[in-house]
Amino acid sequence: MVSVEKLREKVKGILAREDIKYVIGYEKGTYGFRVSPSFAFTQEDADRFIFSPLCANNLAVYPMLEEKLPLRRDQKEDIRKVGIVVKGCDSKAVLQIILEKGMKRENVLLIGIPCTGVIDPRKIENKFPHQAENVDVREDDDKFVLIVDGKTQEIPKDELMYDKCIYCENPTPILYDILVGEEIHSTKKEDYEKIKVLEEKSLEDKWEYWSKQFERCIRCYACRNVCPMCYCKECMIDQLTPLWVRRSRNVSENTAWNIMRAYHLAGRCIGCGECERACPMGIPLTELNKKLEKDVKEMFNYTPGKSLEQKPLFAMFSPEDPQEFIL
Amino acid sequence: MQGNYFARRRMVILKKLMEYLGIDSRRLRMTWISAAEGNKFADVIKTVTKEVKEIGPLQNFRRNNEW
Repeated sequence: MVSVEKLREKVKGILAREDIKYVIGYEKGTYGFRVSPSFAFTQEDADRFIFSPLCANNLAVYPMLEEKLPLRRDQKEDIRKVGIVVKGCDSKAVLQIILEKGMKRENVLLIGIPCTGVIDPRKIENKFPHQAENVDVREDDDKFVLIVDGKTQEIPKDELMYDKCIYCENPTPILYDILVGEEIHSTKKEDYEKIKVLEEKSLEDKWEYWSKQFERCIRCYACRNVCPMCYCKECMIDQLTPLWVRRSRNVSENTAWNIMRAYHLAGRCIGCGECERACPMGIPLTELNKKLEKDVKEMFNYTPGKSLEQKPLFAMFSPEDPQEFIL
Repeated sequence: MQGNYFARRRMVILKKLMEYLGIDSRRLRMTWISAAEGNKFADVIKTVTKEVKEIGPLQNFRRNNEW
């Protein structure tokens, strides 16, 4: 893991520049194993910045959430850059947004952090429930070191790490302006084992599994709001004319919403797993996203968030696309 | 013309997603019919309705009146 002093120093250097609006990073959370996103406007603000294995949030979502008010006639657009602290997966999100022309490359400044895996808050809260005090977690080779209730605990990484980190192919950001620390190369590979098991089941079993998951959905749309790729000006779910999906909370509407969300991310989802982290009901949304990712990879040999040279998946076609389903 | 090819990409993914969620993918059909192929159009519609009738109505998405 990178040293916090180095990160703060780099951020301070960036904030001293004229063309920076603010820098988004992480700060200590208020309780338990939480970290909060932090917005540094001045150099003093940068002293709050941290980076620990708990920093799971994808900060790429914040520039997209920022409200852009209409300009008055004599006003000029604020074209200063926004600095973002990015891990490997976050950089993929930024890259994909730039690819889709959601924002401009020159409007962001990426502070890359080579990441060796972050902790899944669900897994750690299962292990150490009801922590009121904020806990600091350090990384030590292949272990996480944390002090809980006055005792120092050492836990193997694989037990606490996100599933996405276990299969992470890009620990070093793909796109960055400044890199803090040394580059890391990964030999891990995604094998989609969970998805393959589910695919093999019969239609009835699959529906039973998914209807049970979707039944629990409370339609808070946290999965949408936390997703860096969900930045449509008006979401289909918010539209009233036509009303695509009703507001009522039942299996039918919940399924419609979840299919819609997953399908809109087909070929765009970069697999940061934020939707599942944000979901208060614990619906395995990554299983949906990963399935689409797998199909896209198999059929079109396309991986979202790979390079700035490629086009978005649905903005191109090839005559050799699969067509055996067309009768 | 290009639109057909763009749609083809989307449809194949949607079909796979439907199957993954446990919805019979025969309910979604994509066919290319020219405006001049009236007979083919009629045939396709006939086979689709026949097939869907065989599968029966989709119970998964039924809205129950809860009040």
